[in-house]
Amino acid sequence: MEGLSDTKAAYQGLTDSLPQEQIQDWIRQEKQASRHRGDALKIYEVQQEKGP
Amino acid sequence: MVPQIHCPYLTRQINMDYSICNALAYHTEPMNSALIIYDVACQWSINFHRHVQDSHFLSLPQLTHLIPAVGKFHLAAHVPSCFAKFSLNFVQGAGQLDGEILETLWSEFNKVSASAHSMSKAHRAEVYDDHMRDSNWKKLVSMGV
Repeated sequence: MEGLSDTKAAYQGLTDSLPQEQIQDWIRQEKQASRHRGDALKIYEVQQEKGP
Repeated sequence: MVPQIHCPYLTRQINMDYSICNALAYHTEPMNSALIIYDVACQWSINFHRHVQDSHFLSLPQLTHLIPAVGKFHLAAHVPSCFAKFSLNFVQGAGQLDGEILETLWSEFNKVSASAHSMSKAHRAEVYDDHMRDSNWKKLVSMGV
């Protein structure tokens, strides 16, 4: 795939800068979303906090 | 194996329920899941299982897992909350599909309409069929060229 080798290092750098728990949590959410679908897929929506 | 359903005039859900039940029964014996890509799958999928249960004429084969999705072309016109639930991006193993196979022929068919518009319905259907077969044939012979 074109561009994949160029972006791989940057992606790895981004992953390394994040806490392990965060990554594990995302992986768990992703698995749950693909298994249960429906409302579990809402993790892919843009998360916005409403102003007061 | 991808059965395709095309019904431009039939928008009632009962027609879609019937078509999809039949498409799902077509050589699906060893499969246990199916991806249903439909322009308004978000609305249709809400009551599909209930319709099948309540009907004497509808039945589903032993497919344990049905995944409703909306093709690329139509999903962009839906409300934002449809995106996460029905995008093909989040269906593992699915390709990027617009789901507009037949519609792409329409612009080519404008050229045919000039000669077809004065024909009888049967004649016109035959002429369109011939042009569609010609288009299919051209696609087939140019594959991999």
